[in-house]
This record gives sequence, structure tokens and C-alpha cells, in this order.
Amino acid sequence: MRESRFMLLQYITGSGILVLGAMHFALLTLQPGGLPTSLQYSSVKSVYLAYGLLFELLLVLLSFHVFNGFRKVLIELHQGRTYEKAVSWLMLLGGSVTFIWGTLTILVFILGVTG
Amino acid sequence: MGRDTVMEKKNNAGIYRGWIKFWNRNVERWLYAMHRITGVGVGIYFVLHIWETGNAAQAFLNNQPAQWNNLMSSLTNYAFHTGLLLVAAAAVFHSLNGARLIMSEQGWLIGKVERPTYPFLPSSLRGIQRPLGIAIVVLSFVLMAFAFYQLFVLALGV
Amino acid sequence: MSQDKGDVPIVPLHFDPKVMEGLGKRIRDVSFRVFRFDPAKGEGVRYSDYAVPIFKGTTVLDALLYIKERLDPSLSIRYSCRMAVCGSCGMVINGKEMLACKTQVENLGKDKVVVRPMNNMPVTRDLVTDFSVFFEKHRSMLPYIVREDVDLNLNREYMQKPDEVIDFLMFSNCIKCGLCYSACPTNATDEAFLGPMAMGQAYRYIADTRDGAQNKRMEVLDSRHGLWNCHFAGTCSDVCPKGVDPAFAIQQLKALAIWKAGTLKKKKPAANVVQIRELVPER
Repeated sequence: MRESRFMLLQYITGSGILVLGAMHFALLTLQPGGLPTSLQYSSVKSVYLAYGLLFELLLVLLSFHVFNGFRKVLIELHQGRTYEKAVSWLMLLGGSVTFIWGTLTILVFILGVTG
Repeated sequence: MGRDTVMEKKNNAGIYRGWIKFWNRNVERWLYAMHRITGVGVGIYFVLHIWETGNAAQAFLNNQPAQWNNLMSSLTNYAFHTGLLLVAAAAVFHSLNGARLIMSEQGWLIGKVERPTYPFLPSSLRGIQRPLGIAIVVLSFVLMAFAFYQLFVLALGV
Repeated sequence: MSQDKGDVPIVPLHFDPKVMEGLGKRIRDVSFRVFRFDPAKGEGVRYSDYAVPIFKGTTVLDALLYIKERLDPSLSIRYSCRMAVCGSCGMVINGKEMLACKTQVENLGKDKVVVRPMNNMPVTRDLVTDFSVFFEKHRSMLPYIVREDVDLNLNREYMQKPDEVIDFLMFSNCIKCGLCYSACPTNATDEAFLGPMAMGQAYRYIADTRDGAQNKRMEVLDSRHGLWNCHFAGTCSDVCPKGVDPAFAIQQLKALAIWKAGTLKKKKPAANVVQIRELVPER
């Protein structure tokens, strides 16, 4: 994939994270009682599917944006064909593992709510 | 003189003089350095956050409110909340500066091409992106104050 | 040349005799700490200190030549025009990239001046750096007008309107001094990065309505060590002595790479035949 396509995705995911991240922060802090109340078991238990979908979307966007960002920083640090390929694959692996682990976590929360 | 006769001293500025030493440079260089530092910091936090929350989710599968609330209590301390405050500020700055960079990289906010006239000041550094960058730093501090209220006043009773 | 809109009005300068005050009068001595490296001697990097008398208007180049002529003939420096048009004397002065001939010592405002060679280029000796890789990257940008029909129009002129000229004019002022390349934070660690000068010059030709090689240049630019390793730190434009603004050029290229748009969206090819000029009389 051309580098400009990677960067277009970086822009799109970055913009999405700005919006969804702001929603995540707002939902954590703007309810009555603020952050301490929203992190209590009873508050988290009352999370519904829509909130889970927000987290899932945020997870997808962050997984790409963070690991592509790490990839760019690492490739700027050191160059070489083998090194660059290894970094790219490693970041892809890291992003995938983070995404899978996060998705399972979100399912657990939703399952935990509905189970 | 060809390259064969040159005994080269590798002279790259490196991470310190290239990425980190921004205090004697232009405003955009400061913002670049902070964008990189906050990006790496928030990225590392993101990975740890996903891992930690995944571990804590077991409390929901096992229907253990005490386990969850104990974990939250153990994380409610000055050190952890200071870290969270820095992460919140970093995330806010990185997001807003990222928006500024996206717009600048589309050719907006960086002025127009002009007929060059003395003293040949660069139009990209005189565009709206510079005061916008400064405004983003100020806004980050304002939101950091709100995060301080949440993390220290409400949570820790400071 | 006909006047186009937006010309700078010509204002007669009034000569103020006060500018001549103090000429020839020694102001003070300034300490110069100069980077020394001689690979032929097999020694490492060292710094030499010199005390140089400063007069009104003394530039850093003047001071270095004073050192070379009177204090230490072994000092190696590169210079030529002494008036900021050749780009030979770029160096890092008190941590910032500048042309030595254009930098007045008094304007630095310090009693100690530290002079280093430019960053991110191999050091040949002392303050002289090797520009080979810098020029190779420039060559990879095809820094000339490329047209498929050039053989058909050898004695014809490609016409441009004044605003079409202004679209690329400021980028054509580049003197290849290397200050932007030295100041760039990406070049500090990424040796394969094209650098602000090469990409600025690519834009100079892409923005030129006479040129037809935009796609060829974009293949090199839109690569892993091309456009996208620029993160708009802007130091290249900050240090440029000719106001070329390579940062501006690179951001425009990014818009072009993604959207095939930006300021070049409305670019039309220059009319290739308007007037036949008789360059060589026919026999």
C-alpha cells in the first residue's frame, strides 16, 4: 500500500479518535459524581450495548493509529529493508493482538452485563 | 574531491539534537516535539490500559463487585492519578494538534504562495496554524485543569 | 518587462549617514569556539578557541577568515560569494543553522560564538561537509522541466501568465545551501529521508505549468522515506536564508499525493506554442 494511503487512514482514524475519545472522556467525567462514581462496579454494570459499540469503534481506530504511529517513529529511527519489514510486521501483530484482546474485554463487559 | 577521498564522520544530529532539543527553535518545532512525545506516551498507555482493563474484566465474568471495587481503590492514589493527569493532558494535546496538522497538511492554515520580497519571511510560519497551535497548548492546560479536578479533587479529596 | 498586479512600489531610499558611524572602530573581542576534525590525522573531534576582534559589520565568515589568515591557517571552511547567493558557507552557529557570510557577529548578542559544521552530512574536514548524498536526493527529484514534446518545440517558447510564475517563483530562489537539511528533525535520524530541499524543488517543478513529470516525481515522493516523514516542524522554513519555505511546498505536495488536489488542482499545462523564435537562421 502506498504511504499516502497509510497516512489517509492515519488522518481518518485520528479524526475519529478525537470525536470518540472526547465522548469517552465526557461519559466518564460529566455524569453526576464525576470520575469516581463512573468507575464503580454498579455504574460500569449499567453500561449498555451502545457504549460497547463506541468502545469497539474507538478500539479499532486506536489500534491502527497507535501502531502505525509507532511504525513511523521506529522506521525514522533506523533504516534498512529487513529492519523496516520486521517493524511493519511487528506493529501489525501488535495492533492485531491489542484489537483482539480489547474486543474480548468489551464482549466480557457486555456478556457480564447481559449474562 | 570525490567521495572516495572523504573519511566521513557520521554527523547526524540524532535523537537529542534532532527530536528533543526544541527550545532554541521555532514554535512549530516545539509542537512537533510535544506531538511525538505525547503520541508515544499515550500509545504506550493505550496498550497498558487495554491489557489492564482486560484483566479487570474477569470481575464481571465472575460477578465479583468487591474484586472490581478493590482494584479501583488500589489504583486511586496520588502517583497513579498524576500519571493519569499527564496522560489526559497528552491525549488532549495530541488530538487537537493532530487536527491542526491534518488541516495544515491539506494546504490550509499555511498562508498563500507570494511573490518573494525582502526580508523573505516564510508564509507557512506566518499562517493561522501558528496562533492556532498556541491556542491548542492553552486549551490543553485548561482541560488539564478539569482533569485535575476530576482526578484529585473529586477522587482524592485534595 | 510589463508590470503585473501587486508589484512592490519603488520607494527612493534616503541614505542616513548614521549608518556609517563606528565603521572601522573595534567594538570588542569575541571568543570563537570552532569544531575541528581532520580525518587525515586520525584524531577525533576537538574544539579550538580563538579570540577575534569584532568591528561594526563583521560577519561570522569575516571572523573565520581572520582566524584562518592570522591565527590558525589549518582551519578549513567553504565559502565563495560572501553575499548569501551561492550557498557555500552554511554552518551551525550557536546551535542554529545560518549562512556565515550573512550573519553579523554583533547580531548574535553573545560573547562566545560556537561554530559547528552542518548536521546530517558527513564532515570532510572542520567546517566543510560532504554534499554528495544531498545532491543525489536532489537529482532523484528530476529537477528540470520535463516535457514529452520538447523535441518538437526546440525554437518555440512556453508562455506563462504572471500568477503562474508566482506559483513556483519563491521555490526557485533555493541556493542549495543545505541549512534546511541540517535543521530537519527527520533527517537527524532518517538517513534515507529525501529532505526539505529536494522535496521543495520537486514542488517547484510540479507547480510549474511547463512541466509534465508530476507522476514520475510523485512515485519517489510518495514512498516510505518521502513526503510522509515530514511532520511540519517548520524549522527548514525558519532557517532558510532565501525565504524558499520548503515546509509550505511539502504540505502542498501531501495534499496532491492524497487528493490529487490542493493548489495545483487548477493547474493547466502551459500553451506550448505562441510565438516562433528564430534562434538559428535557416540556411
